[in-house]
Amino acid sequence: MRRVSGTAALLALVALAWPRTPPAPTPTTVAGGAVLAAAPSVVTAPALAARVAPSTGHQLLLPDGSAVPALNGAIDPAPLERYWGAFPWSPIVGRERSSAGIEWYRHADGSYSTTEMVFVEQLGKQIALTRVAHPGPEQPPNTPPDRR
Amino acid sequence: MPVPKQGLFVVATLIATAQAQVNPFVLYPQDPERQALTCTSFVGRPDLSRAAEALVEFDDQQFRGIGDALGFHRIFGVYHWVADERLATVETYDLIIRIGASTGGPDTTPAGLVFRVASLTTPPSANPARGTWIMYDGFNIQGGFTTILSQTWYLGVGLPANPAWPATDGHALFRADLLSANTGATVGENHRAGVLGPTWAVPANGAPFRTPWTYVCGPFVTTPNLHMGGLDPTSNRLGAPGASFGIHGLFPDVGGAPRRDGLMLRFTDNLTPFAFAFLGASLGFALPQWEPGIIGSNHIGTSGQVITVGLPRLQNGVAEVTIALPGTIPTAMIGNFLAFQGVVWDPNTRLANWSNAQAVSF
Repeated sequence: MRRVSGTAALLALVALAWPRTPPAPTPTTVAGGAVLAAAPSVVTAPALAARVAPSTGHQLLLPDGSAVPALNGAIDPAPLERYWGAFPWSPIVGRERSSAGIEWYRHADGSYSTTEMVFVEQLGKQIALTRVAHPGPEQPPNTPPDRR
Repeated sequence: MPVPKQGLFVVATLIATAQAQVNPFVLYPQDPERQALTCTSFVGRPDLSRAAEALVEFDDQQFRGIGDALGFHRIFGVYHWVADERLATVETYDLIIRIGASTGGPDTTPAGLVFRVASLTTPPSANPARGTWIMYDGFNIQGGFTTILSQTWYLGVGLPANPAWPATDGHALFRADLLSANTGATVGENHRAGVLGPTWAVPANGAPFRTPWTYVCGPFVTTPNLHMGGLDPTSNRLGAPGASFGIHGLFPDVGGAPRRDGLMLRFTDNLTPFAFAFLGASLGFALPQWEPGIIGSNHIGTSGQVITVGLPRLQNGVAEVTIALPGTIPTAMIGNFLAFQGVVWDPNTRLANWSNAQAVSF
């Protein structure tokens, strides 16, 4: 972590060349607050894709480059790396079904991961979810005195 | 020092490669991905044991450009911490995104519900004790779920009723109470007086209401995160040394009776964790503007309006910049607000990305 001191920054910092930019085009609003894709041409979809890795088929890609079958009938789930978070990679050591009927991969560090297909009414279609659950603090803080 | 043609300063070479990751944008005093959470007041639910949505408000007077990939909010999932009173019992929850109502607060009509995934569950466990799951629920929607920019919006989780909570079972969220919450919390948020609750409860049957705390809950985005933090050496509300990056950063107390808070900027990015960041501030937000070659939007204006507040290099996805030490922000700033924003640039892909912008109200 790097800290850069700038005690008088609010009033008297040196101004550098901040980008000079044209006004943005207006998004096209549709019902429900969603928007149609009226994206500016200056940044293309491939440019965005370079920051978001692609997903593939009926497999779940793992951070180590291997793949395992997607669970719970998921089609085209996002790679697990995208949602693994800031945790060291931990290999899959088992497969379990929860009491809710959802299959999960169990990882060596106690984490779980899975994929699911869910219907999103607002989109009018099913989407794939890639889900990860890492164990957090074993003793979470107390519930509040008034229980709210 | 390379200087791209649009005048964006970048410094030297980055080591980072484009990571196939996302950033959780969480408004909380500490960074739940990288810091030990000593500031959590309690684990709680939005409306006791009753069914309700726990929503985080993203007010466009406070934040702009969260998840702004191509001019709109692009949301790739929901991050939250589950406090489970009995891990052995699977918990059920929904993922919710709402737009704001014209009268303020979340729009609870069907038209206001723009995204809902119902009935997700926590993983299996044989452990009958209390515990925590850090949940990453990611969508595979090409380009993310897209919603409108420059509008107050709400994201969170919906919890079913659970009469067993908190005695023997149930799902709650990690929360940091405002000073005004009157819950007896010794740690939590540490803002100036008069701040409204930044989260909402939407009961299954009833009107929504503000809740005086922040949650460890937020959207997954591909934009870098910029958070402002307050520095108050007279307080132990954080439970540890450092800046408080939740509501304290939006509303520091510089009034001098007795506090004269300082200000810190924290910039995080999992996608380019060793990038250089170009950080600026201006006297308020500007209309969104696009810059060729930079993903996202500039929300704080052009070079004539912006002062540079730092050019740090991220280390493992983090850089912090002290903007003002405690006792140095003039009381003349009271009543004004500043807007902060930054850019990261990756020389490997030759792509730059605007962070979100955040206001600081004095």
